[in-house]
Amino acid sequence: MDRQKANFQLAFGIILVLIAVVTVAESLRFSLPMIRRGVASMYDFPGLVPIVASVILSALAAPFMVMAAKQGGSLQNLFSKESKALLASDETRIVCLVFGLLIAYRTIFNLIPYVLSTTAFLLMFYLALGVLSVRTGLLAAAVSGMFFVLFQLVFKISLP
Amino acid sequence: MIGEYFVTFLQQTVGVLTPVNLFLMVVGMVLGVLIGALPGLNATLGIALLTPITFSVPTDNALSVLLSLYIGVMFGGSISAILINIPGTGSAAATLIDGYPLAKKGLGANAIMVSRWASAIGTLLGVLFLLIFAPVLSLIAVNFGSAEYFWLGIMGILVCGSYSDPKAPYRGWIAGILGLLFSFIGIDDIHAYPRLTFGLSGLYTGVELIPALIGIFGIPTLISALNIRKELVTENLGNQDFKILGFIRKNILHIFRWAVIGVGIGALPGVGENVAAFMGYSDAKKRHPDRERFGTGEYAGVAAPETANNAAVGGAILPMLTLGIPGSPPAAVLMGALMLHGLKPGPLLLSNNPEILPQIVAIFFVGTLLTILVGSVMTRPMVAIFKVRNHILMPIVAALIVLGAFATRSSDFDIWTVIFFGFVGYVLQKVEINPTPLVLGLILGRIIDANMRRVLVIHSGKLIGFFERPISMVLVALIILSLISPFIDAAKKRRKGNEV
Repeated sequence: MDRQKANFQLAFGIILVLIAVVTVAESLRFSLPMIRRGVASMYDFPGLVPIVASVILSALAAPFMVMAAKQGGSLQNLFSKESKALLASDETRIVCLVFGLLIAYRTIFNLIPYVLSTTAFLLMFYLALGVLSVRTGLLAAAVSGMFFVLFQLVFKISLP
Repeated sequence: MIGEYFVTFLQQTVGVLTPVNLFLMVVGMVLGVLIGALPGLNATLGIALLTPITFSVPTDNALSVLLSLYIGVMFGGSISAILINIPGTGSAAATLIDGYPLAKKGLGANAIMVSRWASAIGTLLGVLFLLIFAPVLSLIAVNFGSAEYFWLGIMGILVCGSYSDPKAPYRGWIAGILGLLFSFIGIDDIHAYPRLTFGLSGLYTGVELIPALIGIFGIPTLISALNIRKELVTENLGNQDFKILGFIRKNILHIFRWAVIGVGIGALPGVGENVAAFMGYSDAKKRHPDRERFGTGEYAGVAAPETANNAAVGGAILPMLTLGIPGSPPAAVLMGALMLHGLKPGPLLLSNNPEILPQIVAIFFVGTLLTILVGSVMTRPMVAIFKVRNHILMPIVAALIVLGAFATRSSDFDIWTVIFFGFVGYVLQKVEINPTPLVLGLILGRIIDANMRRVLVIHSGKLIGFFERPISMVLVALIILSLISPFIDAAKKRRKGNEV
């Protein structure tokens, strides 16, 4: 395993522990008043299983982090030159592009009619990938129109 | 009873053969072959995207189109594996080991023909096992109480986790527990209290399964496909002159064994077709008299994984229908689709909806024939489709992912669900954790939660309630076996290595 991967795994292990801690804290927050009021018992309070699962998750995260540390992972390395180079890689660009465009699409999804928002989303995608042309522009419009006809008119699924 | 069952099966087969249904099955099959053949897309995503469209059609039509797509994807994956050396789906990864060398020798069309027939026979044998074992399993499952459901849920996550990464099962279990935590979000089944919602009203109804699955499997797939920089080079198909019936006659016992392997692996919770294909391939290689020829272009090396991965479809549906535990990620989405159509997969499904099993068997039966027919028609056009660049196709898939999530219940919140679970899926991919146990956790979480608390309340907090019935004890024994088996296997391998 390369060092970069081990760094990520270590960070992921810490995130798992944090998820477990937040879940336990939140579960206690809503469960304790219910137990005090007698609405729930010690055996069936709503936070019982989430707490048990969180404890198991923390326990499983431990070997995960130990393995990552053994293979050279460290949190300091997360901010090394290697990591910064990774941030500038093609894959990071694609990941940011996909999530950025999906969030933008979600934002405009209900604001403008479906065909317009989808055509805009596809055009932006093609532009970002460097394949925008008259042909892909027409394809974007045709696909949006086709989805609208298929879902809204044929399958009666209401679209914005 | 068997006579009655046979009559129902015949009635359902006639029902499947209506023009509308046949048309829908052909559409499902064509889409399935396309999705399977295009590198990056898979059965899980295909079924998830098609599910919202099926809302407007009756349940039997919806089942026809979704199951045809599932079968079609299993075969379609082999086309790209054979012709361009990239498996269209994970389950076709074993097929390329011998399929691509055959295509390089100019025998691509023959290899695809073997794959097509092996897929069809695998599907048929898989569904025969489903027909035999589903009523038996269902009879056992109706006796399940809360403790048994609790153990069944735990077993599903542990077995799936162990198989998803046999070298480090704890990685699979981490995914399973994460899935459990996500499943606890929303109104609690016992006290009706909104848990872990952090004040977001969209989370009160819990995590919607279909959008979550589209996100987990769809978005990482999209990112991977956009990262493929390799120019796709398609090998020549060549002539189709292989004597397939002679091959089948000669290998009939082997084919049956590969199908049994497929069904067995497919029936394990969350393990699915990918593992089944490799198990089938390694069995074929181990038993072949001339095993050195494997990897250089051996027809049995194509037939074995294709028979096993298609038979695994029947296997994966078996626990989904009878226990409510899907055997593979596509079966998990299919389970979500059935639930959206008002059916409740689990022990009571076959008694509440006795027509469902013969109906599924009839669809598979017709689907088998369609695999051969549609598969043979679509092979040549697929060569042209491989030339469509991912950079053109994937943005359309992205739009479909959003649309598929929204259409599930016309909710904007589900688009956020897709994006969030897409991110979770991508992170899991980066840290090399298989996301399948997470899906199983998501499905089984509420069953585990409600039944664990029920047993504790009934027995005033005493743990004996979990162990007092024989079925519980059998399930506990199976869980212990699944926990220790990876370590036993590793020890065996170490000992073998030391001996060498």
